[in-house]
Amino acid sequence: MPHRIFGGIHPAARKENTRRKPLMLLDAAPLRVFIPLDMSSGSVPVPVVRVGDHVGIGQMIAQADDEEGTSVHASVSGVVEVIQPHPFPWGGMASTVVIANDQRSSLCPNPLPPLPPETVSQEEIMARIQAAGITDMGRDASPAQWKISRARGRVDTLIVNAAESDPYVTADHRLLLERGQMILLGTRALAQVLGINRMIIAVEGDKLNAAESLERRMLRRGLRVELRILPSRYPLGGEKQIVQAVTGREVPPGGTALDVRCVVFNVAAAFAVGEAIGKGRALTHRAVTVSGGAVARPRNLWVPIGTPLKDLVEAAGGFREKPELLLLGGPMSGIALRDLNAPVIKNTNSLLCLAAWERPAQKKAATCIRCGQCVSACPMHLAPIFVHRALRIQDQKQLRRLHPQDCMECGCCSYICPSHIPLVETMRAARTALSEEAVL
Amino acid sequence: MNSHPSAGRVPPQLARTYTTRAIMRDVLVALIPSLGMSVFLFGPRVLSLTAVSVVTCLLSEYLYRRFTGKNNTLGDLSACVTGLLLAMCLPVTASYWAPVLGGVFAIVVVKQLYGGLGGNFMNPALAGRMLLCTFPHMMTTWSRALDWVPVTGELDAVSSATPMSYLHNGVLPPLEPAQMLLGQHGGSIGEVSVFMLLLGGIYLLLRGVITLRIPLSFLGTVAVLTFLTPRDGTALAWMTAQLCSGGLVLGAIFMATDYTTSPVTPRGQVLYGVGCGALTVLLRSYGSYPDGVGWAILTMNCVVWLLDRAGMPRRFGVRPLAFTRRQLLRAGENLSSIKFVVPKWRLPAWTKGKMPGEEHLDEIRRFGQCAACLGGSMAAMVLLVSLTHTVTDLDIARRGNQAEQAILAQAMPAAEIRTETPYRSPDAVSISAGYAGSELLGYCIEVQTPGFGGVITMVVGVDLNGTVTGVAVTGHKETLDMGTQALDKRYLDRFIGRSGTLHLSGPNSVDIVSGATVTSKAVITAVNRALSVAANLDTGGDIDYTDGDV
Amino acid sequence: MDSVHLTGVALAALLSENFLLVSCLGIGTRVEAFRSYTEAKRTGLSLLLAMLCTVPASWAADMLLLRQFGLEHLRLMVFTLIALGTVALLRVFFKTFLPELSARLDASLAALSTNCAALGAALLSSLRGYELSQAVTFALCGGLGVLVVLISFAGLRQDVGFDDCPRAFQGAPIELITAGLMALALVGFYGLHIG
Repeated sequence: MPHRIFGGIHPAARKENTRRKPLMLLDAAPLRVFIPLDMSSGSVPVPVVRVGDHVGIGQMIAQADDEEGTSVHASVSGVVEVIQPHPFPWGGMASTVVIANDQRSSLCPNPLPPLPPETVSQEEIMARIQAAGITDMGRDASPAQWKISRARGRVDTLIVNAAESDPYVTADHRLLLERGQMILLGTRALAQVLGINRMIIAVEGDKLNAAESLERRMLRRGLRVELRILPSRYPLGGEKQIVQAVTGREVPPGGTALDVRCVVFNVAAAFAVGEAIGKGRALTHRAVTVSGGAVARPRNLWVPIGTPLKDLVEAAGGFREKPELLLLGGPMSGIALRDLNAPVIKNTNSLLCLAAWERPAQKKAATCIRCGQCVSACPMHLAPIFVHRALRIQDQKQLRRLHPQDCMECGCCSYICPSHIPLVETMRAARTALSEEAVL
Repeated sequence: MNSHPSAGRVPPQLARTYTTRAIMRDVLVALIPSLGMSVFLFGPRVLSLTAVSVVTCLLSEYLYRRFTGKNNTLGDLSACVTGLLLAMCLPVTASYWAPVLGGVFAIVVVKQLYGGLGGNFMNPALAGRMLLCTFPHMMTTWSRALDWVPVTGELDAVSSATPMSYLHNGVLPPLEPAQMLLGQHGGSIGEVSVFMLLLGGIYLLLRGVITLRIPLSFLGTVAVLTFLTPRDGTALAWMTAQLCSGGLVLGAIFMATDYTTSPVTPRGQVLYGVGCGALTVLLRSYGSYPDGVGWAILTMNCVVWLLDRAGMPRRFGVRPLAFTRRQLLRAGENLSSIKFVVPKWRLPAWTKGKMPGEEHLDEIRRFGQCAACLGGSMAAMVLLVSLTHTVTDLDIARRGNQAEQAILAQAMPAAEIRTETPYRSPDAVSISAGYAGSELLGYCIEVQTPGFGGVITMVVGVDLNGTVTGVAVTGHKETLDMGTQALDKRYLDRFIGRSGTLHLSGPNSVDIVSGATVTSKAVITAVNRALSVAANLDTGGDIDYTDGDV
Repeated sequence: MDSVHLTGVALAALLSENFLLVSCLGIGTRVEAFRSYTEAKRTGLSLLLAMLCTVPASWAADMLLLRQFGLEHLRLMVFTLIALGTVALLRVFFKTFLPELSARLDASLAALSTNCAALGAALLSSLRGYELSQAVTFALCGGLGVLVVLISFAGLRQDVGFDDCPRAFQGAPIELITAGLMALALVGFYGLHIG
C-alpha cells in the first residue's frame, strides 16, 4: 500500500522516444576512454598503473586507500596513455586516466571469481563490493561500502530506487526490464550484507512492464523481494520522497534516510552489486539515455565508463539541429554540460540535448497572484510564496521561520507558477541570505 | 568531489504553459452558462448591464495605470472577470449607474490602490457589490423570472419575492427543486441558475483553476448548519433550499476561491471555507440583510492572513504534534516569565542629616501637591457642572415634560397625563396608564423590536377596548429616508383604530412600505406585541409588585 | 438575564457594534498598535483588561451612587475619573506585583489612559440600562472585538503591506481606507439580533 507524498507535479513524461529502445552497445567502440579518478564522494583513489601499462577490462587502475573512497577500474582494454587533467562533466577539470582502446576487449589478468549466492558470507560480499568500486549510482555518488558500513545495525528496510520520475530518462527502466535477474541478486546481497530481510524495489506506475517481468523472474527463480508500485509523480526519485512513499516515514530536517532506519540504493547500484557477486565483474559499464529533440535517434546505450559524451551523441545519430542546452540528469534538476569531451562517469544516467522548441519560452516574471499552487506542489512542505515575499522585503526573521534550507531544488514550484516567477532561484537566494547572516 | 553539482545547475527546463491570462479566461468561460441562462430568464438587459460593467472596469484599470505611470495590465483579463462577477451580482432591474459606481470602486479603491493584481486583500467584485448593497432599494427589487425587462427606459418590474426573502422570513419557498436549480425564480443575474454555476465550477475543477477545498468546505458547513437548524419543513428540504438560493453557490465557487484574497495554504483554505459558511448561516438566520454570503466572505477576507499563519504546512520530517507542542512550550516559557512578585516595603531609614522618614515626607508632600491640584480642578469642575445642572434643571425637566406630552399626544391623543403602573410584562419595557382627568383611558405600552439597523423603541397606546389609539416612536437606528419612511406619522396613523392581531396580508392587514420592508414589519410586530400585552394585562387580582420600583 | 439575550449582547459588541470599526470608539491609541502585530496584541489585551475593570466599577457607581442621589448629570465626569483611575491602578498593580507583564504592557496601558472605548462601554451600559451580567459581557466582547480588529489590521499591514499605492496615499491615508474597507465588511452585521 503506497503512502502518499505531499505535493509533486505531473509533467509530460516525454519518455516515448526511448522507452522501447533496448540497451545497446555503442556502434563504434570509443577510441579513447577518459576515466576520472574522483567519481565518488570521499577520498580520491591513487592510481596503481603507470603510463604505458597495458590494462584489461575490469582491471583496477586506481585504488582507494581507505573505506571512504572508491576504486576505479578500466572499462576497455588497452594502453594507459596519460594521466592528466581533463574536462569533468560538471565543469572544471579533473585528474583523468586516459586509456587508448585496442579494440580487443580482453579481460583483466586476475578476474574476480563469481560467488555462489547461497553460501556467500557478509564479509565476502562487503569485500567484493569494495573491490568492484561500486558507488551509489543515483544523484549522489557515495561509496557503496561506506554507506553499508554506516547503515549496518541502524536500518530495517532496504529500498532499491527504480522510480525514475525525471522526464526523458529511461535508463533505469530498461535496466529493470532487461537485467532483472542481476538486480534481484544484487538486492538480496545488499540485504544480506546489511543484515536485514525487508527489501523493497520501488517502481513507478509507468513502468508496469518492468514490474511484471521482475515478478515473473522472482516466481521462476524463487527469489522473494517485495515489489512496490508507486503512483508516478515528479520528485518521487529523490531519497526523502521515496522513503516517504514506501514506508510513510519522513526524514527529519537536516537528516538522512538513516535517521528513519532506511537505506536507499539506486537500481543501477543494485545491478552492479549483482554483477560483482554473480559474475565477478567490476563497475565498468552503465546505462545512459541519450534523448532530447536535438538528436536524430534518441536511444538507450550501455556504455563503458569514461566514454566521451560526444561519442554518445554520434551513436544517437548526431545532432539533428543545434541544441540549445545540454543537460546531464533530468530536465528539472539537471546539470548543464559545457564540454562534450567530458566523459561518462559512474552516476551519469542521461544526456539530454534540448532543442530550442523544447524549452519553455522565456517569459518575464509577472507579479505573484497568490494562487498558492507552489505551496500545494512543494514535496518538502515549504511555502515558496512567503519566501519570495520575505526576500523582497528583506525580512530575516520571517525567512528563518520559513526554513528554506529544507529545499531540495526539485523545481516543482517553478514549474507550476502561473506567473513564471523563478522560484528555485528565490529559494537558493533565501538559503544564501540565511547562511550569510548565520556567518555574520 | 571535484566541483559541487549545484554550481552547474540550471533552472527547471519544463514549465506549465498556464498563465494568469489563461486562468482568467477559464473563469470567464465558466461563467458563460450562467450568463446565458439569465439572458434566457431576464432578457437582453442582462447583456447590456454586463457590458457596462466590464467596460467600466477595464476603463478604470487602464486609466488608473496610465495616470500613475504603471504598466498596462489589461492583458491579464482580471478586470474583465471583476466586471463580469460584479454584473452577476446585480438584479436585472438595476440602473446603469450601479455597475459604474461599483466597478470604479472595486477596481480603483479595492484593487489598484493596493498594488493591483495580487496586492489586494479584499475581493474587488464583492466589495463593489457590497457598496451597492448600501442602496438597498435598488438592490432588492427583483423581477420575475421569464418576465423580460426592457433594455432602456422605464422599468415597471413586478417586484417578486425571491427564495431568499422567503427563507429570511423562516418559510420554505414554494418552488420545485428543478425550478430552484435551473433558476426559474427572481434573484440577481448570476445567482439564480445554480445548475449552470455548478457546471462552470466543474469546468474550473477539471482545468485545475480551483481546488475542491474552499467550495466544499463552504457549502459543506452551510449544509451541516442548516440541516441542524431548520425553521420550516423538513431538515433536508430546508437545507436544499438554503443551498440553492441566494448568492451561495456563486460565492462559494467564484468569489471565495479568488486567488489573491483566499489563503494559500491548504489547511488555511479549509478553515476559510468553514468560517465563511458559519458566518453565512449566522447572517442568514439572524441578520437584517436577507443574504449574508457577501458579507461573510468580506469579513473572512480581513482575517485571511491569520488563517495562513495557522495553516502553514507542517515542516517535513517533524512529527505532527511536535510543532504545536513546541509553540505551546514557547508560549508557556514566555508567559511563565511573568511571575508574581511580592514587593518589598521600604521602611523609613536613618539617613545622615535628616530625621528618619523625612525623605518619605518629601515624597508625600509632592504627592499631596499633585493631589491638591487634581482635587482642586475636579472640585471646580464638579461645582461648574452642578451649577449648570441646577440652573438648567428646570429647563431640562420642562423639555422632558414637553417630549413626554408629544409622545402622549401621538400615542393616546385623548389622554392628558401618563403615569407609571406596577404592571410588568416580559414583552414590554414599561406599561403606563393614560388618564384624562381622573378617567382611565387606556395603557401606553413601550415595546422594543429589532429593526434593520438596530432596536426600535416605540410607545403604543391601547384603549380599554383593545384598539390602538396611536403609535409614537421614541428611538431607532434605521437608515434615513429609507427605513424612516416606515416610521413617519403618515404610516403610523394607519394603525389607529386597529385591534386584534395584525397580519401582512389578508384580513386585518396593514400594508408594508415598499423599500422599508424590515422596518414596517418591525412596527407591525411591535403593535401586535403591545396589543397582546394589553389583552393579557392582569389588572384585577395579584399585581406584580417589585419592591422599590413603584 | 438569560443566555439568549446575553449572546445577543455579546454578538452585538463583537460584530454589529464593533467598538473600533462600527462605533469608532477607541481608535486613539498609539500608532505602533496599528503597525506591528505584537504591539496590536498587547494594546488589544490592555484595552480588554481596562474595559473589564472600568465597566463593573462604573456600573456600581452608577447604580449605587448616581441614581440613588439623582446625580446623573455628573455621570460623565465620574465615569471619566473611574476610567482614568482604573487604568492607573492597573499600571501600579502590574508594576508592583507583575513586573514582567508590566514591562510589556505598560506602554500600551499608558497610551490607553484616555481611551474612549472604556469610557464608551461604561456610558453605553449605563444609558441602555444593562444589568451587571450584560455590562460585563458587553465589556468583554467589546474588548475582544477590538483585539481581533487590531490584530487583523496590524497583521494585514505587516504581511500584505500597503506600500504599492501612489505617494500621496502612503502612510495614514491608505490605512484609513483599509479600516474603511474592513468596516464595510461589518455593515452586513448591522441589526444582528438573536431571538
